[in-house]
Amino acid sequence: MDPRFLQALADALPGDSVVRDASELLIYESDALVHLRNRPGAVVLPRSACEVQAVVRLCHDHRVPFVARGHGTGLSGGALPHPDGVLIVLSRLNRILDVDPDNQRVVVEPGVTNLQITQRVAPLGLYYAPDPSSQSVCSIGGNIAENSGGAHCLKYGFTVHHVLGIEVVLPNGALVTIGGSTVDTPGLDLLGVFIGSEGTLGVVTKVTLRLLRKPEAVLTLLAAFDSIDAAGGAVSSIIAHGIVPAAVEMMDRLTIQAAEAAVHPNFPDRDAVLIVELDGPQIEVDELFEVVERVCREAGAVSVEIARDQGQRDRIWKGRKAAFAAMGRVSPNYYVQDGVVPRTKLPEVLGRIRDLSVRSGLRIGNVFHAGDGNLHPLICYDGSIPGQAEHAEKVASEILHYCIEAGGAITGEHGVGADKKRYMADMYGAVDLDTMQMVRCAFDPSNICNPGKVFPTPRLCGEVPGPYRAHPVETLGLAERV
Amino acid sequence: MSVVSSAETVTPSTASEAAGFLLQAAHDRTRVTPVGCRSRLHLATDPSRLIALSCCGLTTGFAHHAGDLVATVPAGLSLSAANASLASQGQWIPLDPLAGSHTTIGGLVAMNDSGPRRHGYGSPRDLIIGIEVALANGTVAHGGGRVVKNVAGYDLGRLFCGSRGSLGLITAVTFKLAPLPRASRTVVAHYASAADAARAALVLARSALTPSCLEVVAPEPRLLVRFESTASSADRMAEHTRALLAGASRADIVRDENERAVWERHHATFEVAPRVDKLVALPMRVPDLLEELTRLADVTALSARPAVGVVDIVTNGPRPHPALARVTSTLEAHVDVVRGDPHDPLTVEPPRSTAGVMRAVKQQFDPAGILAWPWEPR
Ligand SMILES: Cc1cc2nc3c(=O)[nH]c(=O)nc-3n(C[C@H](O)[C@H](O)[C@H](O)COP(=O)(O)OP(=O)(O)OC[C@H]3O[C@@H](n4cnc5c(N)ncnc54)[C@H](O)[C@@H]3O)c2cc1C
Repeated sequence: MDPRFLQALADALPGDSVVRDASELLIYESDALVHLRNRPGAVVLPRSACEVQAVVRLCHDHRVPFVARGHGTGLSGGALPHPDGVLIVLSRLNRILDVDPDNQRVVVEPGVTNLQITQRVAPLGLYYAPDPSSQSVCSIGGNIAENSGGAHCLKYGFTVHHVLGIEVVLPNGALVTIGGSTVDTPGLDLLGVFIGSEGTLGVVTKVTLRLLRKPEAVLTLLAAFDSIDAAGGAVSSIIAHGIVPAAVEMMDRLTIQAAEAAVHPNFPDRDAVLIVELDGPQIEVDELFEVVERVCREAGAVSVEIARDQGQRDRIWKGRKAAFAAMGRVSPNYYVQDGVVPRTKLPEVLGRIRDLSVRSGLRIGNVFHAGDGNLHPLICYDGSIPGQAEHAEKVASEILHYCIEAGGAITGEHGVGADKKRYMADMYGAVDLDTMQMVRCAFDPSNICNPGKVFPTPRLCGEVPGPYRAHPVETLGLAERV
Repeated sequence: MSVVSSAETVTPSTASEAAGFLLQAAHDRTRVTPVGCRSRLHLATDPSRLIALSCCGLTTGFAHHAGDLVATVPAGLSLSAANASLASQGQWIPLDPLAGSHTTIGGLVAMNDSGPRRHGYGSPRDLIIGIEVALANGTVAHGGGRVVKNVAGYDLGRLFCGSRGSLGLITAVTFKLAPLPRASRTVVAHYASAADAARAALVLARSALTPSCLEVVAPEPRLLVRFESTASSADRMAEHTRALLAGASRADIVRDENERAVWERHHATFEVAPRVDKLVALPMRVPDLLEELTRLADVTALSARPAVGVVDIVTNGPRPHPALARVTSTLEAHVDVVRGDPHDPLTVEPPRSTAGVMRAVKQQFDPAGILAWPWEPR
């Protein structure tokens, strides 16, 4: 990197905010998708929005790319550093600034973890709804960038449904507020488009979130089945009964075994377990829970365990939330995918994945948000065997194509990042991608904000997308472009 | 300033026809206003130089995937038509916009229009999972898809939701649906003032009850609390609510025909009003806001969702309206014109810094500036 730029960076920040030590830089080479690595040009750990702004301004003036990083738990290489750029780590912006229980709002800095928020407001009977499995370690800034979901988003929605406002340093260094503390702030819904933009439209420095009141009753059951299809049948039937549970999660035999080895949740050793949780007013939950239990049995459940207290519920969820990490117990390496299929296509796509596993010789575990069709196939491989990592990646890619063919999406919550950008053109048309790039150009015309992520090909913002393809009206001679 | 019922109207029957028209208009620098089927236009410019682009002819391509609880609806279909069709499989788009259920899906989404059910179900923004739009560069673009969970690429659906025709014509929308409730009950509680009713609403919002509507209405100040659930659960929650509403002078539980009549009467006021403003504030400010609003003689009806922080009002007062402006600025509320002249002087502009990015987005989508930009008070 240009030494003058590095000097300017050092001048702009307190001494301990710039990481120089080579061994320390190592930590920042990747996010949780560890096979994609880059040595960042520089790493900074600002303590305030002003410091973030100073860094971004310098980057803007020197045309140096920058990448925001929360806690590096991303699974798509979104926080993969740019080799000639600055990595802006937000972990020191970690204060809860204001709790307003009456209006059910909380204002936090982006480095606060998802779980810290719920822990802080729990004594007030409130909680923050989106609950990614990584909630104890991921940052709220990262959640906003990825529009993170969790097991309970079937009923409560994703991050985008719970953020009211954000303070952002734009790629030109301007500090702006998007949204606010009320709903429906005036103008275009920039908040809606910023959430899920994977750090490509600016750096979040402050967040106002909506909190929910804890439900009166929560009932959880764990049903075991002798086939994934039977468990899938139960899910369809629950939905067909007009019930929208708070969560519906499924695990297959391989992930059950892995979770058992890691955290001993005492899951039955069957082909599939289904976790169904209902919440709401006691009377409603009691009534619907009976239906759910009956439906599970009718669908062929070999056992149904009902969590009687918080301890039992925690044990079930611990088994589910540990599933990714637990794969390490049954395989030296694994690759997680995040494709989505319409719920009705689950049996078909899971069948294809099963065949693929046989054909490829790689074991594939499945743990997924069954209620919304979000698959998390875990492709097991041994990185010490030459070529197996590449083989696993090919298998993962094939699974994503199954999802696209089924009318689904290449990512439900982990983001496109650096990892899946090559599939974007399989899911969207060229016009769709160009249109998304128009948004990017409005925010970041110089393409310095997390460049090379999300989109398969960069676009220079001077270009107007239209003229590349003649519109039918033009070819017919009815119009020409201005 | 003129209000006309029909400028010259173009009614394409496909998305690409709409895009072709927009491209031609951009070339000719003709101003275009996207509209629904029976919109009233409020025009600042000479109507002879403006063309209304109606989504009314976009009626094909409806697709209901009941097992997935999603549906794609062409923009020209009305909400009531879409819901009638979805009801055959026990599902619906759980929205009750101020414009009424005859509003087109395109108009509903362009305005992000919602009513009392927003308390429990959210607004169109919360239910959109995919969108198709015709753009001024002559193309038809898609965002999102037909699965409820999807974070691939930028969220064009939310960008267009509430964009009021400023970026292009919405041609089709895919929604996440809800199962039709098995039963519905409404508690109608009478109060001395709308502010009292709002205070009671905020107390209820802190209970374990889960109403789908928690609505304060006036001039005759009442709190309407609706439960949509199983029959026994709706009954018991309604009973429980009645017990909690000790401050009400009277509280009745209505169902079936009577319940429908209560809500229909309420909706009718807002459907026909020529001018509806939406005031937005922090929930705890809503009682004070209602207190002040009921003092303004020209606010003839109001409907508030205190827990959401939204108050819809019907006014026939002057514009600018200094008294209303004073109320909103004291209580840090902002005003959004839902129906009426979008360039009303009461409309709050986005903060200057953010307006810059919004304009940059607008510039990308509509470089020739043929579409309106409603967030600019005159
Ligand atoms: C074991 C495990 C389980 C997981 N389970 C889930 C799950 O259930 N659901 C789910 O949705 N995800 C899950 N994830 C993925 C991950 O935790 C989320 O994507 C999370 O939101 C990332 O947060 P982070 O702070 O680690 O962000 P990082 O990984 O540091 O960054 C992620 C992206 O956010 C951007 N970013 C970070 N901070 C900011 C900021 N302040 N401003 C602008 N952009 C920023 C980065 O540039 C990058 O593009 C899981 C990950 C792991 C390892």
